[in-house]
Amino acid sequence: MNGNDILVIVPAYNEEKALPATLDELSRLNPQPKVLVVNDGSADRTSEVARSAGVTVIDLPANMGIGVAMQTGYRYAVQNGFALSVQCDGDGQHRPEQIGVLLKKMGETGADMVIGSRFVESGGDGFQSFFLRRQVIRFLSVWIWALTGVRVYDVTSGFRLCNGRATAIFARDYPFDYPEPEAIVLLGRYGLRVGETAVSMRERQGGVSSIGFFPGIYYVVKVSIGLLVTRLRSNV
Amino acid sequence: MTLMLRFVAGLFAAGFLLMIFELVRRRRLKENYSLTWFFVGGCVMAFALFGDQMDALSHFLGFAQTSNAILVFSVFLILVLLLGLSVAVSRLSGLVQTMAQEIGILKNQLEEERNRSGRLRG
Repeated sequence: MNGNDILVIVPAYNEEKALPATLDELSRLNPQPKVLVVNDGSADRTSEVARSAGVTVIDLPANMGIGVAMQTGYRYAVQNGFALSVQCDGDGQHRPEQIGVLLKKMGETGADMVIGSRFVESGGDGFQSFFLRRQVIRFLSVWIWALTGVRVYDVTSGFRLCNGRATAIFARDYPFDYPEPEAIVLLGRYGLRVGETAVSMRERQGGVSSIGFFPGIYYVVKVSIGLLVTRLRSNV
Repeated sequence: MTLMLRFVAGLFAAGFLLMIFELVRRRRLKENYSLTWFFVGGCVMAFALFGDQMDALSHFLGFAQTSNAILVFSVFLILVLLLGLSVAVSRLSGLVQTMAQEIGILKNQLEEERNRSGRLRG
């Protein structure tokens, strides 16, 4: 696979601290993919930090949410003819050197999208919340399977590789509310194949998880309904 | 309905319809949204003009008072109007998202074109 065919999309919102390390790791990859930072209306120096690293930067005029930022990247990929696109978050959780693992899995299985999955999560925020989060993800995983027949375990992982078909679909139809799990349902609805492979991830370098205890229950209900709606929508 | 009530309702409806007309004329309200509001004003006007028939209709539907019937109809109508506004807002936010994405991509293209021509000159 030629590195010129791969676009790595890094959605970034107020990531001036964690971004340089991620971009540095991306620049060490061989073959070298094209890196695009989509700055989602950050209030800090995210855009400057990315520019000084020498990567392509798209600044959205306001904070639009990660779904809009990611779709901007997919649109860019389609408009510039990239064969493959990778989502790699700028918060340091995802390890750029593991993009190769995703590529290998896609090569082996011919899946349209491959998700990098953390089957083993390192703790750090206490057993209780760790356990609960796993249950939430497990439930959503079963729900997605029931809705689409697609079995993915780490449904909230944002570390994913898309081929041209999946990228083209995302460029015109991408979910905005809970993009990671909904994107799986969306591809299932279009009849595309979703694969999954184990990768190692780091603790996020900044920010906190959005899943707490009571917000967790609220989150599950909202996301479950969102997924159902995504399943019932028509293709565009 | 009393004659006084019908008079007040008719006056209100006339004022309301005039207001919508003015908003459209000054381009502060789009024609496609104005149609719904003309319909609302028309309904109030109909209550005023056909008070006896309204009494008969609300009695037929089992309302003890005509005013109750009007109130219930109004609430339903307002719910539908609010839903229509949510639909309009959803459509607009979708448009804004697309615009923001395209602006971002275009700004990037412009920047790269400038850098390229700058290098050529330098």
